Amino acid sequence: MDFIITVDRSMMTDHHGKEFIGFMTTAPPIILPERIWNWISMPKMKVDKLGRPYQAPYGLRKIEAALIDAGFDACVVDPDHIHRYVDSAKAILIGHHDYFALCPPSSGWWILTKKEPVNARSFRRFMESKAMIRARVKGVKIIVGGPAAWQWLYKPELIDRWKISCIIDGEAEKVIVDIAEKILRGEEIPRYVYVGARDSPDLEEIPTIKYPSINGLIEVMRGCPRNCKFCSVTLRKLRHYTFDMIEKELKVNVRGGIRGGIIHSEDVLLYGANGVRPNPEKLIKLHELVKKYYKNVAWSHASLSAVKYAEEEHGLIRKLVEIIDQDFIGVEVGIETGSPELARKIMPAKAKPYDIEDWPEIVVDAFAIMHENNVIPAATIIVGLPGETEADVVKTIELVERLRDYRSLIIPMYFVPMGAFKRENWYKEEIRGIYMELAKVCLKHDIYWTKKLLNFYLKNRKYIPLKALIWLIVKGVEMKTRNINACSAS
Amino acid sequence: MKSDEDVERLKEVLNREDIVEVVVYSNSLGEVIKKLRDVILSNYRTTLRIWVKSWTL
Repeated sequence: MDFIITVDRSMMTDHHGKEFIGFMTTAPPIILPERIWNWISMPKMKVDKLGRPYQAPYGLRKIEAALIDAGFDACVVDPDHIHRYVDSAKAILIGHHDYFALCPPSSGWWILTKKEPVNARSFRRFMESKAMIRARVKGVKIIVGGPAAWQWLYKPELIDRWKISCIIDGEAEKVIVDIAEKILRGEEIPRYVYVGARDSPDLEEIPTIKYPSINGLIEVMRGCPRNCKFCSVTLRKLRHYTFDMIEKELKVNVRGGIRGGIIHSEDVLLYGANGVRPNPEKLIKLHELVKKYYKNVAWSHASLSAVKYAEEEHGLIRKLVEIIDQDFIGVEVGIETGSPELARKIMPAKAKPYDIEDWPEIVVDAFAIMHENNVIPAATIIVGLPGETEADVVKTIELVERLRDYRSLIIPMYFVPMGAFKRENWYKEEIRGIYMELAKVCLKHDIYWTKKLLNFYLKNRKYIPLKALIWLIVKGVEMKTRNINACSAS
Repeated sequence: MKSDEDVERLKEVLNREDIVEVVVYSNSLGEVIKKLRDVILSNYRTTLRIWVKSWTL
């Protein structure tokens, strides 16, 4: 094997088939010991006799596909099995979405608890494992990339300590082929690559995955037209997959025994749209296609304005939920702020086709629509945005309180400089004052709904031990929160 | 790339050209990244390739 593609356990896991549990890898262990926390959040992946995982992160599968299509001997290998290949491999390729727990929500948990999240611990253990030390001794090239490639810019000492050969920041399907050729020919390779517009793959250059992705995730589009300043995705060109491309990947996953999956896009409801108005025809066809192969479906992300527009103009959320035909559907959504003034500065197009001045009303309307249709959002709020005032945070608190009756989780995330804001300062302050109030309001909301949601999110009998442990964590957090409140009151 | 003037010139061409190749003489990729981090972060659209040549060569 010339090219091993891998990542540490926090990403090479299916989280028991429950994607929301993956959020636990972004936090430090609380209430429970780390070993049990890791068993809940990052169980080991089933592998074949060659150490190849049954499922792997979608991004790694794309790199694997690009290399296989170009004729290279490459495959994704489980981190517990790379020792079998380091003596013969030319390079180890690692992709991650949060190497050092600097992305939200990891960074937020780190600030709140003052403890390092388990994803960063897991990655460090992997990089200092015997197999990786041996790889370095043998001179195997170590190439790092993925959505969190930018984090290496803040870890120069680890670049040298772990002998990183090359950092690739951006969509790597094209550039990795060129680098792999250079490695096989024994030529020098660039040590840092930022993949600009010229080298990002066009739609027809995006390869089809060859083996199953974790929890059946399939991408349906790349990029986003909303241009929010805090987001890096918006810097990419916009591409919508064809139905043929989507069907090929669905078939790969189904052949691998997967019966359910996640439709991935920065805004699933904008699939096939020309601009920011959802396209009912394309969305209905997309969901019918996915349901032809998958029993269960989730959406990765959707924008709240698209939820409102789709339902109010076309009754589309109800139609899509009817096609999906399951108890509930999970999705991540971005509230980001309850302040129209701040929203206008940082995400002027987030509300389109509505007016950004109406942002809080759009959020409430969208939450009501999702509640009625059993769509359960995990919503983010960004704290510490450039230009944010105390009055802005008060408006966010008021908005979260208005969402109390709607089935959802609301997670405050502390500002990390990405996208157009990537040269801004990080939010590193201790959480206190108005920010502590916001954290408490969100926690109260989340404890209330987590207790209600656990029963039907983990209703299968096989999840009883898992449910019991998560219940224990929720009760523990609830008690700790009560203590904090009691201390604040006295 | 040897001097601060070279770093300034790099800033000027990023986001304008489609691709920029940079050669830096150093024995440490970490040091190169530390030195160029702000410039790298100012780039949004140019393909940037940094080659690091050892001083000993």
